[in-house]
Amino acid sequence: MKALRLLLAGAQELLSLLVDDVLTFVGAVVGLTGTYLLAHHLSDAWAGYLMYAVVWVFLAISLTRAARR
Amino acid sequence: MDLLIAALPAFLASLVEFVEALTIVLAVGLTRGWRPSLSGAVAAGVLLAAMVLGFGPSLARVDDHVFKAVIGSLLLLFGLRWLHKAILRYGGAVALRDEQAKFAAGEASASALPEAHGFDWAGAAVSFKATLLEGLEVVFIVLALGAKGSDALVAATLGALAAAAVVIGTGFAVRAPLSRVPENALKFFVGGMLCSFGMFWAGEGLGVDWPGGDVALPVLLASTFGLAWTMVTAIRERRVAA
Repeated sequence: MKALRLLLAGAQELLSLLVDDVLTFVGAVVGLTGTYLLAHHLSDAWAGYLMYAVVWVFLAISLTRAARR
Repeated sequence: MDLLIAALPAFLASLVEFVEALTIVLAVGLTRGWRPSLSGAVAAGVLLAAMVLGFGPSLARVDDHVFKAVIGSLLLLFGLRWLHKAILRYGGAVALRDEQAKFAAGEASASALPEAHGFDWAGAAVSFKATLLEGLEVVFIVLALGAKGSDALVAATLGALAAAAVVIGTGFAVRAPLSRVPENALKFFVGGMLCSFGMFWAGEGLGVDWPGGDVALPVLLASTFGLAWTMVTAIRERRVAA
């Protein structure tokens, strides 16, 4: 049980290397997924700019909320 | 140019991470003794070097699109983490990292560890964990930036090693945490770079045909830094108005 707790704590610390803020993480995932879908079904040039816009919208919302706290 | 793209962010990112690791290694060294402190740090360093040597060359064999999509996505997430924090710190919403305070906290934690009889395993473990965790970020950046080929991997590794030499040399010369390193400026700059590189590569891996090809990368960089600074200004103005 102790070993499992240590493993979970280690996994959490490793995950924190990539995820600091949930909203920013969600924005990146949505942006990347949307890019993949758009690039293969619509315009591949604009898919990249849409990813950029989505990532920044989520980042801006997250920063605004964090600054208010 | 490709080698500079590999070496520069690796050097700058490593500066930040090694300063953070040095703070804990110094705290353990000055409190518990240098033998456990350096043993833990060196053990972590050996493990990290093994990761780079083990994973680095094999990444070049992964399918180009899969590699770009995965590594680009991870770089984007990693860069967003640093950029998010740096923007909040510059905006004044979060306090700047106080290396002296972290050092004092490290000393207090190390002092609270059980007294050692023989080799101080507890002290060595603290030093090992701090070096490993900070070093994992360096390894990730080195592998991601160096995966284009052996030249890029060497350039990224040399960038990281140069940063290690600067930090270790300075740290042990002054025997104090390096509080004058512009940590937030480095995180802002490197975070923006990694976000831009990550988006560019992830986009290419996912099927995006960036207008202008490689010319899109400096456009992404300029836009990222412009938008990031706009957010800093907006947060500052909101705080002044409040």
